[in-house]
Amino acid sequence: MNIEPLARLKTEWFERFNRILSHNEAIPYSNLKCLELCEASCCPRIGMRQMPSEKIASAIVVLLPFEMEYLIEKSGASRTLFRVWPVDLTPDLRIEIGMFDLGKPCPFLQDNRMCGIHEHNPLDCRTFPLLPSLSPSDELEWVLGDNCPSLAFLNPVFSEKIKLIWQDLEPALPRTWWDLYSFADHWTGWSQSQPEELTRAD
Amino acid sequence: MPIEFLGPGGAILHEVKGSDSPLLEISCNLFTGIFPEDQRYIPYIRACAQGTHPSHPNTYDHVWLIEQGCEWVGIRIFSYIKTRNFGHGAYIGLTPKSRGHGLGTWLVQQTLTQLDDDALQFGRDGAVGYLIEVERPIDAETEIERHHAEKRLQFHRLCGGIVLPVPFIEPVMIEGVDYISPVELQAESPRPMHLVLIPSALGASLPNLDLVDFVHGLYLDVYRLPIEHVFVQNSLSYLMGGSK
Repeated sequence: MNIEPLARLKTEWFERFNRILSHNEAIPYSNLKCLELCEASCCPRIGMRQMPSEKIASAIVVLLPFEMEYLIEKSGASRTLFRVWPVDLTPDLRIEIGMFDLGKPCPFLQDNRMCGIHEHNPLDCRTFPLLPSLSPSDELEWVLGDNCPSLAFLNPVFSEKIKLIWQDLEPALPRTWWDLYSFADHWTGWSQSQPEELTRAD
Repeated sequence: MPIEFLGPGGAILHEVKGSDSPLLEISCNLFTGIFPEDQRYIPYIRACAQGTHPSHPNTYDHVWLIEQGCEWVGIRIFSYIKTRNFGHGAYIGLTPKSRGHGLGTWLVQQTLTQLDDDALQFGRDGAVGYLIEVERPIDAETEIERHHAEKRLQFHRLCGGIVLPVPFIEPVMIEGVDYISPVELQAESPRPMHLVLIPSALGASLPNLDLVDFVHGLYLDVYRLPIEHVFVQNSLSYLMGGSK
């Protein structure tokens, strides 16, 4: 494993996260009625989907490269709280992408349905109900998550700002990350023989 | 939906069936022309043309030839995995001048139709699609190779292909076949590949796809690897237990 390129990439991504968070105040309020209308519908947790326990699905939140490491550094969370998935950047360079899914639900979701790390929560969380994807011709495309109860209130200026952030990030995101991201909602994630105790959070 | 034997630009799909088919030699010659680096796999094509072969106990195999304007322009080799509800696409190849005219997309559609028919024949409701192994652009040794690998991957994405997020190593050959000896393949090495699902309409409508079933179907049933094989374990290690 090449340590040096990994360290350089990590530094670059940490700088991006710092930049995004420092601009946070410039991002207009989303106007979503999360607390009034919603009970954390978009946060990965047991019971969020009507599926039998042996078919625990799926990757819900996919972190950006090194965003897991960034969250660990900022929150002191343990790496074991995340599901990790490999993305090969070169034949010799593999990074691991953090995720939250129903097998490893969000450890930061509090009993009152508030986010425990709201000030530096993952960009994927902040972006919802906007859902980015990369087309086969490498163009950034957007759809709206229609399961968001306050979608009708979404502030279009907020949407534009978020889209700009992703446009800036897109050249730095490997295509394999997008493959992982786009697969997220298809992901069964567990075989039927998976022990039950592994289906809850660590 | 029946198979469309007539395709774009007057293309005609011919099924190659049986070891005495007059189309088999034509298939082998065309395969050699399109995939010169894979010439050693000619016995595999001969085996697939039999439909059922003792060395492929879990698959029902197909070889198709494409004729256009009195020329042989394409070959398609794929299998239905009898133990699963999906297939495996081994080769799709067109001569250079017949590329870019919709033949590839048409062949993908006909493959899905055939697999649906096979699924019904083997007692399933339908096929969710088929798996293919596609070279990873990051493994290309030259810029030209990388460009070709990206074009191939893009073609499959445009056909609806879903790159499955599992590390996948392509074995050199199906285990234990009686038509190629290990000595003949000793110069070959397993290669990391993208594992891609080309979903049928049924597969595309599913809210969740079973990665374990896909990995097991390909490794255990097609390649006949034992479940404890390192390739199988590596593919599923992230899925089962998080970080290795």
